[in-house]
Amino acid sequence: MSLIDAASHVRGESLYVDDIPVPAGTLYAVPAGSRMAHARLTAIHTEDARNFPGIVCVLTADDIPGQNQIGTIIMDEPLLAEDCVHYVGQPFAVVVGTSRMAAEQAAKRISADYTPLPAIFDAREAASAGQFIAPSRTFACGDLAKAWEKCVTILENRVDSGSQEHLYIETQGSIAFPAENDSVRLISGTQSPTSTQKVVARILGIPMTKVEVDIRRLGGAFGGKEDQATPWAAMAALAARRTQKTVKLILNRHDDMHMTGKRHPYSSDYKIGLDAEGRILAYEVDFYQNAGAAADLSTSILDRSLYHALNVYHIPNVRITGYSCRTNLPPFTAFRGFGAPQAVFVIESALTHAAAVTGIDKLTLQARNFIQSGQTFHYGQTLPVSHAGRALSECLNHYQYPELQTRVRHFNAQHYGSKKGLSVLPICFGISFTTIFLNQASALIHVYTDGSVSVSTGAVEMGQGVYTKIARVCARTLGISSERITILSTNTTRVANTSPTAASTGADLNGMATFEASRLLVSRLLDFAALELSVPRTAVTLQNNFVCVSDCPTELTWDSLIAKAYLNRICLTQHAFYATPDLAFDRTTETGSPFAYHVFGAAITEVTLDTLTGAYTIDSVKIVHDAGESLDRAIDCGQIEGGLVQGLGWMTLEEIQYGAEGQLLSGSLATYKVPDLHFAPAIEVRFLEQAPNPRAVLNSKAVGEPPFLYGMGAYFALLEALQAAQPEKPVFFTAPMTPERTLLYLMEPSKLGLPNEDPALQAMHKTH
Amino acid sequence: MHHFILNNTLISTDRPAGMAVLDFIRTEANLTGTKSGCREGDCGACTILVGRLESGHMHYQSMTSCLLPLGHIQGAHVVTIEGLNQSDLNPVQQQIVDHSATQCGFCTPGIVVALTGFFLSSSTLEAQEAHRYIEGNICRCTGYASIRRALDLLPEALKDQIRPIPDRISALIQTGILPGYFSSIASRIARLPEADPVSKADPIIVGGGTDLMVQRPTDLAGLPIVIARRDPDLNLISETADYLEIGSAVTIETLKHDARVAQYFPNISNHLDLVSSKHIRHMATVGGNIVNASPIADIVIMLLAQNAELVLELATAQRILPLKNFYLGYKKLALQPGERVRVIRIPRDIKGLPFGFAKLSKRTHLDIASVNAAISIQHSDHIITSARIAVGGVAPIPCLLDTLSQSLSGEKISPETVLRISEKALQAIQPISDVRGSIRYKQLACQQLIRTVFQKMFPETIREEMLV
Repeated sequence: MSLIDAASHVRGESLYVDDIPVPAGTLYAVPAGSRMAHARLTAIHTEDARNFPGIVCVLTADDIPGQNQIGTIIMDEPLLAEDCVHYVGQPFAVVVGTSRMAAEQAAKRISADYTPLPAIFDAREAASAGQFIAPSRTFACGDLAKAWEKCVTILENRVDSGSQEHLYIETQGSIAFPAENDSVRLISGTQSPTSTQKVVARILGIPMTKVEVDIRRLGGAFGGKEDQATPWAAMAALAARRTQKTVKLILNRHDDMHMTGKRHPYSSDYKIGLDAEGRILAYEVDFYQNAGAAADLSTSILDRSLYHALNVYHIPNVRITGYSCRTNLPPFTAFRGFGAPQAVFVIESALTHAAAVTGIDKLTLQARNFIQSGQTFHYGQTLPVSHAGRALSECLNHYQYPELQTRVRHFNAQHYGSKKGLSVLPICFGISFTTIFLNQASALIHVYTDGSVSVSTGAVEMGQGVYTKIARVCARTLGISSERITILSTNTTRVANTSPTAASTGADLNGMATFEASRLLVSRLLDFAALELSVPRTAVTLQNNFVCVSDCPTELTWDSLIAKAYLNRICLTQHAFYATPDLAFDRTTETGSPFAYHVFGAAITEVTLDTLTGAYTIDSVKIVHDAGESLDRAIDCGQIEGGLVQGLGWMTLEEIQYGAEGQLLSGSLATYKVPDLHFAPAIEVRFLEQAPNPRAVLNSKAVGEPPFLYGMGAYFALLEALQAAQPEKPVFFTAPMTPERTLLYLMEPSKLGLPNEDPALQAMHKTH
Repeated sequence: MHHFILNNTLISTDRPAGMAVLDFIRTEANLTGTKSGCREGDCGACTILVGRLESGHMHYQSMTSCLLPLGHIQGAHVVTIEGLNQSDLNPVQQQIVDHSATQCGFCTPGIVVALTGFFLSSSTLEAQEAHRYIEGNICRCTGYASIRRALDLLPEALKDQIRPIPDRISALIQTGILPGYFSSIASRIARLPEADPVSKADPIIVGGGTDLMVQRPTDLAGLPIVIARRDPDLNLISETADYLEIGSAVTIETLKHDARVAQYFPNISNHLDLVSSKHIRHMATVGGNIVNASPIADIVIMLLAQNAELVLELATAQRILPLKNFYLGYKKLALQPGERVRVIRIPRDIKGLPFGFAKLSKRTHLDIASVNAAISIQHSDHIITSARIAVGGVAPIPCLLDTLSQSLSGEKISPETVLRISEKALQAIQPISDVRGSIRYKQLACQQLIRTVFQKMFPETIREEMLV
């Protein structure tokens, strides 16, 4: 089955926020932001903008009737800056005009008086200065001090991974329609309609009941429209409230890239200790998370780093500490993987380092330290069944890894101008929001008298196929075909208190709520059918749109059953609620069972490096992935391939660069490159067979984030290719592995290791 | 007034010539299937087809409508996704649906349109070529694997039904790829009225607009502009007794496929694969690349190595200026007010000489170079008689390394020469650190590009292992 939206997508008939018809007289809002990274705002000059033709008003913090606060976890971020600005691009005014172009031009005419304050852009510098978003957290188990004594090899190093722009092709946006009694209806490109609703209510000083948030689909999100979608909706709502006109705010690409948060850069120090056989006895790591200027979701993202610090390995003695560091960059935010990729990159770097020093093959080291069924993670959760070993061996066998290795060795022996590299990357990813209360969802099903069925949940469709999966769960449970089911837009008046569609849990939570609602509904309908047909209740089922007795179709179709049920005053509406069971975590001991289950997999990556120029290609990535009993293999395969390629981008091309004053240098698609068709490698995906998952809907597994981790394979394969060319040079762990880094490694080893080592970045010349 | 056909509808509009076609489509025509993604031609979400009547037949090219000035589509047929839709999904659409080659769907209409362009103009109809037609379309969701699966089967399945280009449209109507109204477009285009002439003084001259529409969109929408592409004289490539002459409004894609150009620039088609995307190459012009004066303009670097000269025109007066003397400083040109580039010419004695080009960029395709290099060598039995090495991205202007090039005369083509000369090149350049790389990277890249270009020009004499 293909996506239920596929046909309207290919016809260009799927509507995104900017496509939705708006009434005549609609106004357009454009934000104006700070030009300094950290300064006291002494005055905002809006006169020129107000006098610009077509401008209706310019709003600042003074125009906010409610609370000027958009923070969700920690209340530390204003919608519009008042006394102080904390990053370049931080919005402090909203220009509202009769056309988008007028508002954009007027926004450029807004200026401010700044008194500069010292700015910090580096996480370690922030840590030294005591600038933290929240107190540090440490997960520990075993006896580290004793363990070091038993180690034969102890290694330390620093690891850096860069930021990443989501680059959803649809930029952020929202339309606000003013309604009677101070209420407002919003169409908002948000992954988290309830967060948007809550913050808009707070900004306008009205109860949540007066704010309706509706969204049918997003043109890509990847975490970037979780908390980060809210300000634009709030600004539109504020302007609609002021003007009593419909207000549309769609960020242009420049503003989107400059004003919205991205993946957190991490800088980490590890210390790893192994015995003579390559068993990891001890591991210690400090994560310095660059959180940007406000909390956003940083503390939750750091949680996931702590949980995923060991990837798929079992290490008896560990201490893992995370620091969320406040800097003067736009608040970093959720991005597919949510802190796990940054942590996994560190342990995989440590293993690569260990392999290089001990001479034990990295794959041997990896496999020797896999977590086994029945073992306990460093945060206290016991893993009932580990698929780590099975995924790896299926991957190596099916894709004939030994032959690949031989081929690569041959190639490297015969070629001077190019070298190949291979890597194997096993993954383990925990599923559930680590903020336990978020693991809840509701579904609301209406059956109409013609037999058509509508389902509303809190899940937001952004291309990941959650609507299709929900329709499938509902159809299977009701015993009718998917075509009878319409998944309605996600709307806070139909389903309240929605958790964000995030953490890969969209289908798990909302699918389970849908399953429950469908089950209750069908049960009631079958009670009625049994009476109608005068047969025992236990003999009646619904299959393929027919009421069946002892599995034989009767003349009673779904449609006629519904028509009769209505006349007999049977309720045709069902709501259900689901909360993931058995989740618990004790923050005082930092132990518990935060995850419903774990996802496993393994990938082999092959790359070819041009040793003259440092240019490279990623030739292929071959994956075995554990999706449980996949709800839809085509959709899951698309998630695996898409997640992988985003991960490849993060590790190779995608380089967020800031200037010395904290200004974004890579702020357009001309300067920030994501994978294109030519860059994307040949991808093979196999599903791990016979791995049903009793802990999620219809034995499936969540699939959104884990495959992102496979992209890391490219870094280690490139490192192997570099070392094939320069065997004497040391390994280094600074991602992304841009063509600049590879050439510098090939030609000039001494310069490597530290990110942004070149202070001359401030000398920007336009080279476009 | 501008007159064109948008899908199946005749449009006459007085909107400004510099308005982006994307804005016209979305806000004036209310067709929202064409998406706005980046407004700089880098994502392809706004891809449309522009068809022109040439020798009695319609010829269609994909373009990014965000960079396309309205004046450019005078007399053309503009096709958006809405103009391809029929009651059922067409085979292109069906194939994308069947292979789940759409996720969030935002890039999908652009891909469908671009693939339709493939069926309209590909001579080979090979799946591999179909990839090139959508190389300018970024998809952030799929990782392209499902898109490739859809592409790999589609041309094969339809190949036998699709006739050569002149009869292509009727064949595509029969296979259902195009709606029936396409058959009437040629005759309707032939009847379209001319646009009003630009009357005001000092208009902005727009080549393809692919840089101006990014840098000065508001100016273009508000000021009088002249579309150079509409002047047929500027669109010619010809060979005279002494020169290959390239009109300044010749597009990069035309350059890529011209057999005469290939005699002066061996392998140019492959080199131009690395220059922007097909959608952009359909718009961007040689003259535009020259006057935009980017220090890393790929075309300029190639032209410098082949000793190009500019024919400059002021009213009726013409003068000749070697391209290497055209750049006075960063984005400063040796142009008088009102003067424009008419023709780029290459001396005939260049024809057939060994020539090579390479660039380094973060992404290999559709990316601006960090550093690029082009080399032209004249030699007699591997003794260099004349050489020109041009490098970009290492100075405020695109550079011909004159002194260095001259010092090569009399040298033997050998690994030693290449190693020495590429190191010496570093003394002749002044790169800066910017978003495209640090000073040190650009120095090394320059050195290594010179080596790799030589190596590829003379693979027998200069083997890879001698340079590593």
